[in-house]
Amino acid sequence: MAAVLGEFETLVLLALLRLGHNGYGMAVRREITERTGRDVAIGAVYATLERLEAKGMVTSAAGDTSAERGGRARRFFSVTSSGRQAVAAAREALTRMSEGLDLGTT
Amino acid sequence: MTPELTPGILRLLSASLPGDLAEALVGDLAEEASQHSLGWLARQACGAIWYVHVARWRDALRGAALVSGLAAAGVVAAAAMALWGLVLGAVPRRAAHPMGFGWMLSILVAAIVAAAVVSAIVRAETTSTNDGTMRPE
Repeated sequence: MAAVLGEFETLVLLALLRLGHNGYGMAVRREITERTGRDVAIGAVYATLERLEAKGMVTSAAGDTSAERGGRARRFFSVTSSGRQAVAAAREALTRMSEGLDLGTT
Repeated sequence: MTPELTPGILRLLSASLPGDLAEALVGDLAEEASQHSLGWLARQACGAIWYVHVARWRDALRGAALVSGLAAAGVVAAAAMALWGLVLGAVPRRAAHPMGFGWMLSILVAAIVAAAVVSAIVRAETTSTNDGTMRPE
């Protein structure tokens, strides 16, 4: 059975999957804000990424440094197979739970 | 944006966060800072300190809540035994409550309040970390 994800963890993993090889903190924040309209704090994104990494759902690697970043390296994250399974399970659960319900949103 | 304040905020943030995370997070903010207001940067910096430290200390806080809960349970048990001894008259009055009943009741209430406060903090901070939209202010 895949690990259970929180809502924000699911959003972060989905953002990483969408971003592909360009998945770093600020890009994840931007992706979530643009797609959901939620004003997300960058600290919340990094705290969640660290938690997901501890759970083995993402891995990270340092990128190149740049003057624009004050000589600091970007940290790129990618979703592991365990992370993909957890997202698929979360989506499946949501689909099953909402099946046949009239939510009155149309 | 007030450019001269940006490096100061970033330096402060960098000093407040653990090493590898500080490099990535502060670098992201440095890159983005010119496109936003000073208020935005300050909010993100405060939020970063809040969220990162909450995430790191959450387990420790949970442990503290558990210890407080156990302490409260211990005090409740001791008070119950003392009262039981008084009711039955099975133990001498002084032995049953050597510190006096008022003190014992105060310690009991304080322990329960401490447990409730720590639990509430843990719950609130856990929720805010998972939600990702709550602000430190």
